[in-house]
Formats: sequence, C-alpha cells, structure tokens
Amino acid sequence: METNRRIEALVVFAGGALGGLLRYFCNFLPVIGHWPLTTLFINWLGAFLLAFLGAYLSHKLAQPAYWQSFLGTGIMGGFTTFGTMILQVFSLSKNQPALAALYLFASLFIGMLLVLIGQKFGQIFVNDINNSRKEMTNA
Amino acid sequence: MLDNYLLVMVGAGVGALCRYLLLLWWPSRFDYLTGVWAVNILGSFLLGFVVTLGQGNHSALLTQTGFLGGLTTFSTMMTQAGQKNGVLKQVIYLFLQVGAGSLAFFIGQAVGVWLR
Repeated sequence: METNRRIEALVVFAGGALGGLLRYFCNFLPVIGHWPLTTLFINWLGAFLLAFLGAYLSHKLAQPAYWQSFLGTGIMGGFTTFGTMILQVFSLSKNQPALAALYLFASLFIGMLLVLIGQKFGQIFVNDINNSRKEMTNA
Repeated sequence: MLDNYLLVMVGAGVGALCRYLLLLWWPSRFDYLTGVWAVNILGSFLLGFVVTLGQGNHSALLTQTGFLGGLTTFSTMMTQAGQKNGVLKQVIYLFLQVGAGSLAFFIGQAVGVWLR
C-alpha cells in the first residue's frame, strides 16, 4: 500500500507536469491563444476529456488505477485550471462586467454540457469495443 | 525558452502532487465542501496574493502558470458537479466553488496589497 501511494504520487507529478506544459503551449496557438479564450478552451476540452476518460476507464476495471491517476488527476487536473478562470473573471469585470459574467457562465454551462457529452462518448466507445469483441468470438 | 518549459513543468508537477495529497487528506464526508473545493479555494487565495507581487516572467511561470495552475483544477470540479443528482444540486455545488473561489481570490489580493 505504501509503495502504491508512492508510485501513484510519482505518476501524478509526471502527469501534472505534462498537463501544465500542454496548457502553456496553448498560449502559442492561433486564435485560441488569445486571452481570454485560451483558458476557456483549455477548461472545456479538459472537462470533456476527463468525463470521457472516467466513463471509459470505469468499464475497464482490470486496468491499473495508475492510468486514472496519470491521465485524470495528473494530466487533466494539471491541464485545466480553476485559479486562472477566477483571475480572468476579476480582470474582465474591471472594464467589461457583462463580458466577465458571460465568460463565467459559458465556462460552467458549456463545461457541464461537455461533461455529459464526454460521458456519452465514453460509453459509446466502450460499447463499440465490447461489440467488436463479441463479433470476433462469434466468428 | 527551454527553461520556461522546465519552470512550468516543475511548478505544475508539484502543484498536482499537492492537490493529490490534499485530496487524500481531506475528509470525504462533505457533499459540497469537497477536497476539490478546498484546493480550488486555496489556489485562488494564493493566486490573488501572488498577482499583487508584480513577479518577473520566470517566477510567474513557476508559481502562477505552473504551481497554481497545477494545484487548482476545473475538470475535476466539473465531473464532480456532474455526479450530483439534479440540476439544483449541481448549481449549488458550482456556486459554492465559484463564490468561495472569488472571495478567496479577493482576500488574497487584499492581503497582498496590505503587506506591500
């Protein structure tokens, strides 16, 4: 158990470092790289992917828990950011309070929709794999 | 350029590790004030504080983009909200995150300005 926690901690560290680096790279993308769209895009994508991952991995119970820790807690947790979202709401609200409210609402509302879509996609993906396995055994 | 990447990676890795440890340690009996809530509130407070310091580029990459970006998380907050039954509970959950997060950021800024 003690060793498990240590490996898990290491895996989270590595995933977080990669996720943070990916988030930093997004600043250099065209269109999306422009403030404040970057964080909006990152958080939407991360919410979708984490929901997809959760639905996908929950069907693969034989998988070691380290995958969830590396991809979910590490990469997606490190990729998305709550702090910068709050910071941007504050900076926008100084001159454009309506835009700040819209930014926050869009982050959360569309984020929730993307969680639902991500879960659905994850389930469809797993069903697809299961069906093709069945076809292989039937053939 | 390369040291920029390294600063972000080290900061975000340590941030994610701290988040992992705090989530392990935080009691799981709370429905709304979860460990995710705690890391986001802590991270928002610290971010509010450090933005008042007028940091240089390297130190901002390590602490803000790296550590605090890795410590706080949006994706886990959203999937945790998605696990709540019903829209009302989801709205309450997100409101407590954003409301307390904004307050924490504001207090962090005030403390930073006060100490200056």
